[in-house]
Amino acid sequence: MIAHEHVIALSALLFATGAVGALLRRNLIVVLMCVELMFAAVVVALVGFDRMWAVRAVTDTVPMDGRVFAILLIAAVAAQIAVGLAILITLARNRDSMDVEDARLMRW
Amino acid sequence: MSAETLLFDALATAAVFSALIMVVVARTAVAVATALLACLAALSGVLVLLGAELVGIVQLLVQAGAVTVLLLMIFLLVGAEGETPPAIGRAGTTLRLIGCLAAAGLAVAVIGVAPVEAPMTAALDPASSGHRPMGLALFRHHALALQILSLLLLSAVVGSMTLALRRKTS
Repeated sequence: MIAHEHVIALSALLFATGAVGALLRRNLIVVLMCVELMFAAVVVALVGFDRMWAVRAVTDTVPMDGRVFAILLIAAVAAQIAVGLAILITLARNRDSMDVEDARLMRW
Repeated sequence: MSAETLLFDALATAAVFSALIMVVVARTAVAVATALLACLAALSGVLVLLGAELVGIVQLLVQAGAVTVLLLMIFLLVGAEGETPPAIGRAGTTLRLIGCLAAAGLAVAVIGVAPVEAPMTAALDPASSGHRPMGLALFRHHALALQILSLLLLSAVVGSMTLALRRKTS
């Protein structure tokens, strides 16, 4: 039996690592990849919690909310990354740089 | 220690290790993409081990397959040079390592404090694993969410094509 705490700890560690990468890396594509790592951690957490609450009342008609949510989330992640990459391509074309410090139009 | 626990430990260690390599050590963007691919493959194994086979295969196909390959193709378009050195000096990798350790400590502390009360599950219910119950649940109970997500994907496709299309100036 896989301990539930181990699954949640794995998800938390991966999310923290992805968050640190999204904050501290200087290439825009790498930041996007760290965001995708965070999404993958969330999927693991969803499935872990779904497995944790797998014993339910007999009257429950939808016994697998977590897994269904995880599949829909993966599809939403794919859409988000596609749009993010399109924005990235446009930015790279206009500025000719993939550095995160060069996209500073909205700084004060 | 059953085989299940051992396999989960091995896959989880591989996932965390490749995530750390991806964030802290990897210098070029292609190295980051390769480490991300390894991490996502390990996570797909973890998902299959947890009894969500369809989610694991879909993650392998979509995230590890389509999204990572799309990212690698973007390198063909915009070039995959490494990162410029940080303005703080030579503190790039060390700073990221310290950040990862601090964030991991915070995450584990938060998880350790929160009470996890859940009924113990004896074993996986064979009636609820596999793709057939998942398909039935998706198309019966969550059909609206599925349709809305299809609309989202369609708009994402159209939007990304509109953004990335290079217009010929005549």
